[in-house]
Amino acid sequence: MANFLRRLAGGGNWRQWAMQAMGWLHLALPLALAGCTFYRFLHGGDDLGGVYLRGLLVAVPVALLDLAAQRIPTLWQFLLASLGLCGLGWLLTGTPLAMIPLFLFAFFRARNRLSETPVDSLMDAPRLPLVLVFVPVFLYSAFTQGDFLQRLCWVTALVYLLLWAAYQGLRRIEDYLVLNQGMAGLPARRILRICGAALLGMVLLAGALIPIGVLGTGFVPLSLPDRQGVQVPQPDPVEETTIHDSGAIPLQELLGTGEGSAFQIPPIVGQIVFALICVGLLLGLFWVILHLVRQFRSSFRDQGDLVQFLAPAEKGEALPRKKRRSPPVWDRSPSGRVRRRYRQRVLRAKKEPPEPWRSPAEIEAAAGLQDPQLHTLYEKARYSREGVTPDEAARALRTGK
Amino acid sequence: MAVLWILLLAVGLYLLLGLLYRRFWNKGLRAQLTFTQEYGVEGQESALREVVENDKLLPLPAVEISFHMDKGLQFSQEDNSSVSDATYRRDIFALGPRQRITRRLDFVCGRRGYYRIDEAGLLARDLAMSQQFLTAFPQNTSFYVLPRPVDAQRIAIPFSQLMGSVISKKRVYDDPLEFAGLRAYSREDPMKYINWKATAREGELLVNLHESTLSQTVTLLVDMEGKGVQQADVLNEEGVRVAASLCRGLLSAGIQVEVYSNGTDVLTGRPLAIGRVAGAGSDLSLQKKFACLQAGNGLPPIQSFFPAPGEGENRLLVLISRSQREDLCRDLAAWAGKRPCLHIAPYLAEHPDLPEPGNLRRLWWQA
Repeated sequence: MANFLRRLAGGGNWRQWAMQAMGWLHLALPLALAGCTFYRFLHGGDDLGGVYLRGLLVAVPVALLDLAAQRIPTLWQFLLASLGLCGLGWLLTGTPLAMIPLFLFAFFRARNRLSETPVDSLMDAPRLPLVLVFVPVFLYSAFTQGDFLQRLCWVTALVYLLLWAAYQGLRRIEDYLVLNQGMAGLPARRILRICGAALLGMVLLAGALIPIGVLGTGFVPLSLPDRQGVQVPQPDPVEETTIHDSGAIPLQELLGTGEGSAFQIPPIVGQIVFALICVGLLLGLFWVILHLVRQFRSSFRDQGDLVQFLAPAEKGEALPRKKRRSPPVWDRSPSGRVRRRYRQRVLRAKKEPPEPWRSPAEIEAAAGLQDPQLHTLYEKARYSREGVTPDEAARALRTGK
Repeated sequence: MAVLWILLLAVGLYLLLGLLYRRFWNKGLRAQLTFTQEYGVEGQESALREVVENDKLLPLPAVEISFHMDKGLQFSQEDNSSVSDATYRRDIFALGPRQRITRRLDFVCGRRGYYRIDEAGLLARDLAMSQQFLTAFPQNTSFYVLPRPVDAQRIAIPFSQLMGSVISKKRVYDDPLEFAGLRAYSREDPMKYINWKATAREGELLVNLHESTLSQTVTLLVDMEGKGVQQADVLNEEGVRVAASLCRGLLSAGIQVEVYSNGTDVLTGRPLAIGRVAGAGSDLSLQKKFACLQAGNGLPPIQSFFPAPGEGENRLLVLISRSQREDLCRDLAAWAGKRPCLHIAPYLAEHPDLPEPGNLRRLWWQA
């Protein structure tokens, strides 16, 4: 099946396939929005979800036309197929107007076939200037208070921008790999992993923000004062429940969940689905991060290259922890009290802590401390096994005052 | 408003990424090229090791390492090399955060010579593959391709001729630098040969034994005139191979050797001049010198390197030259009238019959 599809598409790797698919989608997005605008212009109302989704289906005949232009050997066969695909466009979108852009597309594809040097056209790939196509739709929605159309316009424009960014990123990677494909040891897979992960991450991040920005409550649609000549027909309540002349059916009607329908999806179902999607996405993200971290932290061989993880510079061997010499604060034993008293006296005399390697006699000499009784008690508390008695401790404490 | 924030955030992230790369792309980045061996022989295989290191968290998806060197080394992955007057090599690496990649490039030692890499260029790209960053890392690695030894049976002929001349005048001297062992002291031994440490250990007088060196010195003159013409290049290379093989044999036999040439030593930039060397241990350094020997056009005539009259009467002269010019033959005959001399003349297809006056002997060597 995969081989058949590959043969049908004229070979190529998945990146070329993805770019081709982006090219199809870049045509479908403005066409779907244009379909919504025309629909609103002709029939009014804001029930444009279904029209929009059906408009996106125009990508199917566009893709088939593209493949037909590559694979059908003779021109008359291609023209015949084009007619059929234009009809398919009508069938899928529900409006004969969809055939106009498909005819144009087929015409340019046929012209490109006849040309000795095929040229890239605006129809092949997302182009940044094409974002301007959305401006008239936006202005129309602003003048006619079409909130939903305006939201659709923003979503489509942002998705188109993302599509353009993703296409450009993938195009750059592909160009680089094609340019160097003859080189031995080219780490194509690793280049793809690193650049692809970054590209995917940025697109997903930006893509996740679109619904929050456009469909959330923070979105404030722009409404301009109504002008004469821009008239939006009010929807006919009778026609809402029937199929329109153009064949377009609003989304709510398709799903049977409109306000007039008896069946309503309970809100809890939507919340559960949303929670499940979020958990799934988080798990997927966690798995990807874990996989990447594991991969980058391991050493392996790739096409003869030895890839090693560089551990952060190891700190020097840790010195053995200094043994605590002074008695802890919580040591309320007689020996502990004597040792603390001795330390207090030394610090009072010298203002500096004694060096740990000095003997008591040296410490006292350095501090100018002369108290033979305290000296004896301290040595007993510090070095003897039995320590000092409570009486001796009390005596030592008295001498220190 | 939120839409504008999204757009600003996306653009800001992209710009931040670009800024991060511009600021930190070369932090912790290192590239090192090293030949895995110090030398190889013509026709043998060896390898160059490329190590690229990215000791930071920013990944570098495409890092190109490029360097150039003389085209005498033939890399097995030819696709990455473009060969013109030199070999220009480019390899691509993909470095993740904190990664080191080691790649081994196998090559065949195609031509004798001294190969050196002084610098490696590095071109890196950012994550979006939109920015390029260039730098260069100084390198210090070199490789000698030693001349291939000629066929042992063929070299035996000139070698036996040489040895015949040498042995007829044989005077053996001890070489104090070549230690051979110990033996008991006898009354004829000079005291300076007593090994006092060994004597103290053994309790009896012991003297050092040294390898003997024949007093005869063989002087090799290698004519490297002519470059760029295929015939000259082939014959000169063959001459160097013969000279190197002869030196190896002579040094193994304990004969002192000195080598002079009108060709330049690539390391010094001056005509090759190797004073007397002896012992098999000197062979490698001599072979390396031969690897550095370079042919050229317009070199000083090889006659100017003949030993001056009265200089080293025991010397046996071996001239290796493809030249069949009259002036060279005349000068060589004049010089050979006084001392033993061997002229090894490499040729390709056929050679003329030239006279061999006096002590001069001529050996035609088909390349």
